[in-house]
Amino acid sequence: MSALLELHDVDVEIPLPGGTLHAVRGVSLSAGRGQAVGLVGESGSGKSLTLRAAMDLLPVPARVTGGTIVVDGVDVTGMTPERRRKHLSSVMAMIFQDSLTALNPTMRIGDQVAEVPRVRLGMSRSAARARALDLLDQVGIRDPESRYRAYPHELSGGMRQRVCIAIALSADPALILADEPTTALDVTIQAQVLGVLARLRQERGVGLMLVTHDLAVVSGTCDELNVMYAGRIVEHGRTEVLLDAPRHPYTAALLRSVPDPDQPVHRLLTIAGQPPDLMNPLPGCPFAPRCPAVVERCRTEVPPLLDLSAGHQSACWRAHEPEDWPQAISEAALEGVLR
Amino acid sequence: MNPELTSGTSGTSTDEPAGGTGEELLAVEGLVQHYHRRGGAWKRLGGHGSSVVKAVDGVDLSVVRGETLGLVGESGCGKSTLSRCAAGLLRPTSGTVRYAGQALDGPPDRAQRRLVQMVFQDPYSSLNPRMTVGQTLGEVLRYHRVVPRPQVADRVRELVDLVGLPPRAVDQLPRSFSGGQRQRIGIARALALEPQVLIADEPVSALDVSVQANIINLLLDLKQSLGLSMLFVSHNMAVVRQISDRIAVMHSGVVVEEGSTAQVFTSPQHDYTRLLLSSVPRLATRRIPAVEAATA
Repeated sequence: MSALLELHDVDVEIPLPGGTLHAVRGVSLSAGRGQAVGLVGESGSGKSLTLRAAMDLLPVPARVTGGTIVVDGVDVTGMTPERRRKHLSSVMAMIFQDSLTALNPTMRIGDQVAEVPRVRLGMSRSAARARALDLLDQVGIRDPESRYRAYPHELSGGMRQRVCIAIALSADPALILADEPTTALDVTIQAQVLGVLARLRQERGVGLMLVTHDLAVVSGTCDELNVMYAGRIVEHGRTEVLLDAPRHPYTAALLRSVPDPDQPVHRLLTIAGQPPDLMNPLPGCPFAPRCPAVVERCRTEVPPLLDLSAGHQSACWRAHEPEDWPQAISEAALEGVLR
Repeated sequence: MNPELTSGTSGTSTDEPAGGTGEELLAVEGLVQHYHRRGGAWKRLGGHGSSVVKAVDGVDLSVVRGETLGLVGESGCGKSTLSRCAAGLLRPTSGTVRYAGQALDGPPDRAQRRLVQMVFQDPYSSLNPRMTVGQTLGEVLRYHRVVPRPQVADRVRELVDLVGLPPRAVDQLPRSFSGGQRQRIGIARALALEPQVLIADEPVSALDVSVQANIINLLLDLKQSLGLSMLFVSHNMAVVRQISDRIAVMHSGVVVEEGSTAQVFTSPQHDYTRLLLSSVPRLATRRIPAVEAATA
């Protein structure tokens, strides 16, 4: 089965007055039909820009400066903007974090959902309306007939995000790209919206690429995870493998810094220091300055994504070391503090 | 709603430390805050003047010495309004706010302000962008005459050190700090007055998880070393569990459940609490041993 979306070695740079910010550094990933792929990282890790690069929606002045983006088997990198947009939007659709600014405040929500079927799919007004009502129903908006005429400001955040999902579905995409779709929502509403996305995947086989900073959200939603740090993917693997036995110190540390609602601990593990400045070239592993398990090689050579087992890769020079590795890392962390 | 006011005894905690000694430091009683929302032009012409939003609709809560009370709820439940009333930033529609047993009559006076301080959610907008950290902290120290003027500079350095910022931070502007560092500055500003109670309104919500862990650890340390009491407002159940001795769950302006942290999490009584707890996304696997880490 071929992937719907493939990124190969994609670079995104942002020219700024003080130099060029190299925000995404050689990212490769893929997502197929019916798959849910997560892209996790902290602010500034480049996760959102990676997603936007895939959808050709990079904010000005950011641009893709290297690598190839293949959508449904077609390399879109060299296409004219117009053709590229047409091709991308026939395969993928995107959902954004802030549903209030994503929607047109002066248009009734039903008309916004019906717009794509009417304009892109050439449906008649009445057919488009029927389709919009059907879509609103599918995303769990009760009584779509009466909601059709509502304006975005009249709906709650969870309802608006459902409208956004309905719009994303309106052109029948094979893959939905979601950029922090539930971050602005309350937990009870978040659970509902994640439920809608899971159901769409199950019933219609829609693929999902989910960008979030919330490890708990991806762990319940995605089959595969990519962990990003400083513009690179540092670990990739099946969700359960990655959460169970992370083979990159950043993933391990990140997992331990998340408080568990079911199991409070005396102290949370923290990661000392700060992410590197992406304006400068990084000579070695970007995590080296903060890494408890750092060795000399890490500071001078960038570790590539090394294969560990089927589908599990880690960009760490020490990823292949023995089984008790995570424990060794945490001991090293404690030792590092004592030193 | 739980009308119980004598706190610290409301739950038997098992795996978490119990509350303080029972001396009430901050309390609200029958607190009501209604906002009047003027309708649009058409509504007013139609004779529907204004509508009332009952943000807080009769809440009794108290924080005793040495304890952290977690206040949880979803957006719009009134938790921020409640914390602002408790901090004396809003005058409640009715009900009383008591600082160390003394009811507030209007805005708190200087002495009362020194007792209760607040840390805000957004570390980007809650600091003056044109004042260095030293100026921000120095202003508070001088206005409240916390220390004699010649000692202000020394005190500023102590505070910066207390919250784990490097000494050079004193001469820097907020813009040169990351979100987590800014939140440390906000905490230092609140601590400058040596308050007995810290009201923290979503202090970690704007931060990344690894940074969030840092600030939670800092607050736990400060609670231990300074004997601080805290009203910790958050929508994040996991964070609240980590930090609180006791928890109050708010929904639509009222407290629907109150009890020790262990009690509320392990045997929630109210339907809303159950819904809230079941909605919290959890990491699918948790087999990594929880490591007791030392601070960075």
